[in-house]
Amino acid sequence: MKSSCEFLVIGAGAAGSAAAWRLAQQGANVTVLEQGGWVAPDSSPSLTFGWERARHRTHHPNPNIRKNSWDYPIDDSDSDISPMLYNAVGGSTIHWGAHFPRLKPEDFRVKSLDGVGDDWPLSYFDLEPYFEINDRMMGVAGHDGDPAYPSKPHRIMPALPLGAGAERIAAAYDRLNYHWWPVDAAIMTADHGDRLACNNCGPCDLGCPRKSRASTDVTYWSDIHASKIRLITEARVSRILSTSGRVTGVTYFDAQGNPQEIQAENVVLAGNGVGTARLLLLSAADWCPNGLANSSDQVGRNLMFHPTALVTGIFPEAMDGFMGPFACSIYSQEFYESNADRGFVRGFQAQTIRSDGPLGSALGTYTLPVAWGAGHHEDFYSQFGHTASITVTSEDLPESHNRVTLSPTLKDRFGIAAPKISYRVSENARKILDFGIEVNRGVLKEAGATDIRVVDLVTSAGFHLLGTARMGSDPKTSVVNEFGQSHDCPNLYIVDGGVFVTVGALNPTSTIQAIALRAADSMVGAQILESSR
Amino acid sequence: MTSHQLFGITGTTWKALLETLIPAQENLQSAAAVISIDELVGDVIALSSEDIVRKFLGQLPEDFSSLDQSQRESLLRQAGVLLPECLNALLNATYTIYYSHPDILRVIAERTGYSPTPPQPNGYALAPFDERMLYKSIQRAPMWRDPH
Repeated sequence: MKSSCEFLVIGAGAAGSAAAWRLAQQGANVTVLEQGGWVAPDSSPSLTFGWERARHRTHHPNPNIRKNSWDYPIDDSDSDISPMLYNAVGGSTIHWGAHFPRLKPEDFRVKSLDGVGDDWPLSYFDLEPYFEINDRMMGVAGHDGDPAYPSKPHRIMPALPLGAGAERIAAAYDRLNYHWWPVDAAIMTADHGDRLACNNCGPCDLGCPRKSRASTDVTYWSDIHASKIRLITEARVSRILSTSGRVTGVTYFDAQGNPQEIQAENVVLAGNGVGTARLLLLSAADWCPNGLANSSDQVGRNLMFHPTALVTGIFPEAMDGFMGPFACSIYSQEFYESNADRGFVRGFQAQTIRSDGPLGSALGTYTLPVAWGAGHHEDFYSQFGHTASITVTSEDLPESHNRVTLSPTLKDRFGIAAPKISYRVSENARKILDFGIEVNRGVLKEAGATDIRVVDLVTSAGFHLLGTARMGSDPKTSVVNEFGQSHDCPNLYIVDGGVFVTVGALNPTSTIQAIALRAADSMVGAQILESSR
Repeated sequence: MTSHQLFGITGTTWKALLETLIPAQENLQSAAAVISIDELVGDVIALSSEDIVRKFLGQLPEDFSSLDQSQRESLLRQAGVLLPECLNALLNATYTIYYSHPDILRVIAERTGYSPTPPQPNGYALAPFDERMLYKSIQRAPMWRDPH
């Protein structure tokens, strides 16, 4: 017998967990299908001697390298950047760095302010109350008063310590009169319940046995309201079922590989900008031959990644950057805004990155690898423990040709067509990266680095999967409205990063989750919270 | 079938190849001293493919192991120009196995003070954040734009 539910959420990652939790809190009947399973925090390889090897093989962020049975392959042969994601309860928050900035108010109005991209149908201030709910649920450490943002509620946990490398860089920023601030991090710096304060171990991306670093399996799914949700793991959705203008349920393969069907009054997609687009395209039907919710032909288009360069300084003194959350120390938004004199629009975020263990340092995970040959040992020991890096995370504007389609040849283990990604770094983003590289060469030189090495595009930094089901007011040019509701199917919602209209130059997770929480309130007809400003 | 037979090159050639990538130096061991060729080959094939590895190795002369370091480096770089994916896979596998080996980690610890134990459960001390460092940033004017 087919089961049924009021709200069927597809994906238990950052967005799906937040949406499902909020729906359950509002009293809705919710079922969640997640293609991965639970990952026990104490199963982290960071507890083992093989942790670095695991990081580059079995726990690699690229599903094409990791090849976990929960994953699906992605054809990225036509892309400048490889997508990184994780499939599990918790989604990619299982393996993220937990750098937790919000998009800025101006990021929602780039057409009006800078004449590029499009404006969003909602604003920073529309999301503000939901940012605050999400901050409480995820647990955010930080420091009040960042001039780069409107004031936020008091951060109840202190910011993470900078570490030797970021202290050097912060002092350089001060001398250069550049902005810097300790990042908001979804990492506990004080004990709370079963989540212990961070012990500065380093590889947050391998999971956190102390539950210090947030992931939605230990945040949203630990809350009492989540206990009311029916969660089906290892469920690979193959198709969303629909009749003209209405979705009716989905088909999926269960953990044993058996085909199943579930009926739903509403379907909520939270499969990230690649997975959701794939599923909409897979769900084409007679009445929607180009894919579900795709009368605008915008499904899969406008894929945005945040192209990233990395500038690494080698210091004579030990920086001990293998200590501390690798992605979280300080950032600078000094060059975030447009400046016509620079020859490009928009700008970049500079995020200081700590360094790596011996293997990561040798491989140069995001930096350049250590040289092989006669100079190998000298190069290794000059770098290991002596580096600090700054990312140049670029604004990435929507371009129709950057897109997700279905691979005509590659399939997952259930025989479902894999997504194919076609993506090229734009000329504008390239100019931003080149400018940012030169700026940060100067910063690292000022900080005392004696050697500076540059990766002008980190091809493995495709962590942010955005824009492929954009929101908007016009059904001809967008897929969903400001509440994630499909223009074509009113009982279909999208709440992941696919709905981003533009992406700023900042990590998107907190904004994705705020959007998902707000959308959930709309789905059940609850009062939409308003900013207190 | 052993790795040697699989690609038609001798164990001596494999060892020379590894010593070219990470040579011995003072008390630092070469890759050949700590890496099992079978393990290496399995990892390289997983990262690349058997065919490509065979093509790559096929570019090396039979007397590769008798050449000096600079000559071997030159030949590997030439092969890497034609098949960069394979050279990258070979390097990745070599570095991964080498820098996961307990003997190598012990030497790194001796030379740098790095702890070769897993990051968890002990971690490192979490120093308090020193907000005095923000003395300058805190004085800056707001730097976000109100779009309204």
